[in-house]
Amino acid sequence: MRVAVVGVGMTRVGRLVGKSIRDLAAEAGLKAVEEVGWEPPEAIVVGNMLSSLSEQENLGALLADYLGYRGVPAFKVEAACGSGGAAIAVGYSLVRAGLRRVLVIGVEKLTEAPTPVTTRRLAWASDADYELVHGPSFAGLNALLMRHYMSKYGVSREEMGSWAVLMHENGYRNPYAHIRKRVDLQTVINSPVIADPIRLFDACPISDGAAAVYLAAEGEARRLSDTPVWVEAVANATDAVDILSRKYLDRLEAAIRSAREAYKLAGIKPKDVDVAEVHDAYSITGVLGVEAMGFAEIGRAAKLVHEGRFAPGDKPTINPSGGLKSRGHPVGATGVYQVAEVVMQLRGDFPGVRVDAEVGAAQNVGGVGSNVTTTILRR
Amino acid sequence: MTSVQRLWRRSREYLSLKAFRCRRCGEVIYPPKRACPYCGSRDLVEITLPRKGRIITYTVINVPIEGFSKPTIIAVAELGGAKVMAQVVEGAEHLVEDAEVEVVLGKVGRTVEGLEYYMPAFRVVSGKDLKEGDTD
Ligand SMILES: [Zn+2]
Repeated sequence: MRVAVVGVGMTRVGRLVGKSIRDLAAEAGLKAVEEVGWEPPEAIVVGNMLSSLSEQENLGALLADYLGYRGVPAFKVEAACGSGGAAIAVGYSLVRAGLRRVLVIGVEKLTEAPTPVTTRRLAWASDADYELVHGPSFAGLNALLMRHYMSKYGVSREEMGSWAVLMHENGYRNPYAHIRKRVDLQTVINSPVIADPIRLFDACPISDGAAAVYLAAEGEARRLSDTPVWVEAVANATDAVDILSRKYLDRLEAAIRSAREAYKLAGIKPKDVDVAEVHDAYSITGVLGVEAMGFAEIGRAAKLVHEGRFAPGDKPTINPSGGLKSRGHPVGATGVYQVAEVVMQLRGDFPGVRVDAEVGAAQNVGGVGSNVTTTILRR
Repeated sequence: MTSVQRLWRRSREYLSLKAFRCRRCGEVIYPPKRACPYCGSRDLVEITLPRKGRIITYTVINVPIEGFSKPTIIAVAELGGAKVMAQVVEGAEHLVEDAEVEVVLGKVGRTVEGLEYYMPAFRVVSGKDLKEGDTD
């Protein structure tokens, strides 16, 4: 049975001091419900990692009630930075299992606590007993991969830096983006070092935000929407949380596995994808993500971006939203933003860089590549 | 931040660099798991990793997380077929990829109780501007 996205909603991403978790979730969630003429969902799935920063767990019940759906089944799904994609995977499964209408909301409120507290909590996505005990930040873990990758494939600082330049060029035109600012390559490669070789402009910002997608079973979808976007595949895959027991440090095997499975389920190849939102928590994550999606050979993605590939007009166009780098990374909401953005591209109503697209893909990565969901969508 | 209880629970395995070897495929498994992640076998034998190896990758963290000093230098080294993460506490100025390291005990951070704690850590014994035997 086919599943469609029949409604989407999102808040602007940023440091949204005036809005709490429930405010953000309601703004995005109710926008998605409004798109289907206020038809109530039969269940709500919430993607979130760190609502504990707001001293608020139990998000399923909280949001079901607050949004006006007291009584419906609702719960939170957590998979670190991959929580949003994981929530979509669960919501999709619920529709495949027989529900007709499921609302998926990704929400994150990272600025509720002082930055050092948030930074420490984000590092909880790593292996507490065998990594975190030694003191790496989350940026530090990604820096270990970035140094290895650059060294192994002879990738220059300029080539890696081109990722951020492209993201900001795209995000500059996205009204929902956290950092709407163009940057040049010199600014990127001379920005302060956070965790060598990761510099400030290699890293995503710490963001608040919420996004929602309203999923419906086929018959219901045609009743609720004139422009349903079909979910061709949702594939989740995992790897070790620790990077140590992985065979390779130059690739994200869960992302590769998740993408392959998604392509297989959708019956398409990487070359069929018109637009993709990939998970670039850091420049290195974006590069490894592009390679995992099969858009570049391993070791080649940064060089291709530097040569001008994947920009608007190219196939695939990657991260017209600006990616995590510019749109921002409200951790547990990011995977839902990505799917909502691709849906808007396919419907032709994304308010930023627009891609004429029939097939789109979204890749959401949790941890340092340990929990990955790839979603394929078709107009 | 870790805690005294959590360190106590694993102190012996941390200090001995405990790992497993898979009896079916021969791979070294570190960190310890309940099955071989490479072939699925549960026929594992406990081993102790060698205390010398080579740097695979490293990072100098200028924005450390709470409980750790600035900078925090983290490396992944290959020790007897395993990749092990630890802080570099001696000879960091000689740090390069492929540098030779040995495992020492280093003061690495503070627990939630505010106590300083020690963990296996790396000392660079040969690397940039340093040949083995240059230090004691
Ligand atoms: Zn084995």
